[in-house]
Amino acid sequence: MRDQDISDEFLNSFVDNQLDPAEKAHAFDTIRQDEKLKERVCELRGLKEMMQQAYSNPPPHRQSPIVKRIPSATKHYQALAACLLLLVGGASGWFTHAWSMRDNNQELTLLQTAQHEDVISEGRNVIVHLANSSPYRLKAALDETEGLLETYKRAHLQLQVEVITNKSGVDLLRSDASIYKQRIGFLQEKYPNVNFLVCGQTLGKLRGKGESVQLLPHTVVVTTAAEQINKRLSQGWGYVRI
Amino acid sequence: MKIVSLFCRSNILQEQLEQIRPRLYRLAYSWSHNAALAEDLVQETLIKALKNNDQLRDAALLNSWLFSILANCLRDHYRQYREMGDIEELEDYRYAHENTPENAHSQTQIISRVRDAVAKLPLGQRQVLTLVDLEELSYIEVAAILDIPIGTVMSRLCRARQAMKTLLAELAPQQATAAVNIRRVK
Repeated sequence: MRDQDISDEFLNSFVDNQLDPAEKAHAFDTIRQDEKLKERVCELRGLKEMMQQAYSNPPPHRQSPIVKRIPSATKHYQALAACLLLLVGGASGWFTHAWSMRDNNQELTLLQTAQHEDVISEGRNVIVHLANSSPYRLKAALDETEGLLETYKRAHLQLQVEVITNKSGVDLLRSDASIYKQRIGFLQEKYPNVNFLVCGQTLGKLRGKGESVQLLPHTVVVTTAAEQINKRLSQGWGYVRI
Repeated sequence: MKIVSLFCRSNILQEQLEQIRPRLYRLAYSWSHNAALAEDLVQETLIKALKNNDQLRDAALLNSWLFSILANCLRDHYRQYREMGDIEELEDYRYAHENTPENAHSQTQIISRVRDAVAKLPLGQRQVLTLVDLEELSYIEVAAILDIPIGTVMSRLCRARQAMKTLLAELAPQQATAAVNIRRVK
């Protein structure tokens, strides 16, 4: 076998250790006898090493903690017991409400979504994430949130909801851009257990581009959306992405 | 007892995710060449992994599963960018690649040249090349992660390395030209 008979695919497989032992032994013999093949192999190995060197230390970016440890087994059981109690109460509330409101499409959609997302079974706190300014999604975010709040209120169950926005989703909470200013004001007034949050990183980018961003009253700015979501997930909150 | 075992499993998974996080970030950075975007992709990957941890049938396949989620996150990111026409990330990219004096100096360094060459590859080739070279995965594993046939992995890898050779030659500092401009004055 000569240099020109050996394909690049074959040499790549050799360099990447993808050949079976027989093929590899044959490749060794062939390469040893051919200077040009040796050069090609050296070049490929050099390229591979350069790749490893180039990314051995990528530029750092500020990391937020993924999740905190679950403290102890005792707390597991406490949390488990609380979840089970909540599950029984929550499920009965949901089904009773759904039955009484079965002609109301909005409520049924909410029920299906919430069950699908496994929100109820996970706990009484939910973080709703919106990263998009499509009118359909903005409306869906508010519909889902309001439905959830109202259902829990009627069932007399405790619930805390955070609506967090980043990227173009922040439009929902901009006083200069939101088409739902009044509705959000109404929600804040009616449900003290809902908070609206904005990603500080997105705000920084918008302001860096010279935009004057004004937020709706009572909007909370957090460092980053990802950090806040991670924090809530680690605290056992349910997560719904719209 | 099943629920208790789920809690324990979740705890172990969290520890494993912490350990693999730097590798995920390195891979995300090698695909995007944007530190902020890479961090976002890693965050998204970890959130999805925690949320869908019941989908991981075999713990030995955790790394491949995470790389696969990361690849999907990147694909979703680009898809969303196309749909929404959002130029935010493009501007980030441009900002990150502005020609500062430090950057100009580092262009002569091998690391910058390799990264620049990788950034010029089509995304499909870039992903295959980095999974094989950085993560040292087998072709079969790469095919499973990216959900493509193994033949495609081999052909993309081949094209990527050929392109890298050409690009690295083009990006090499022009020493010969510079030498002409130096004159000895007596």
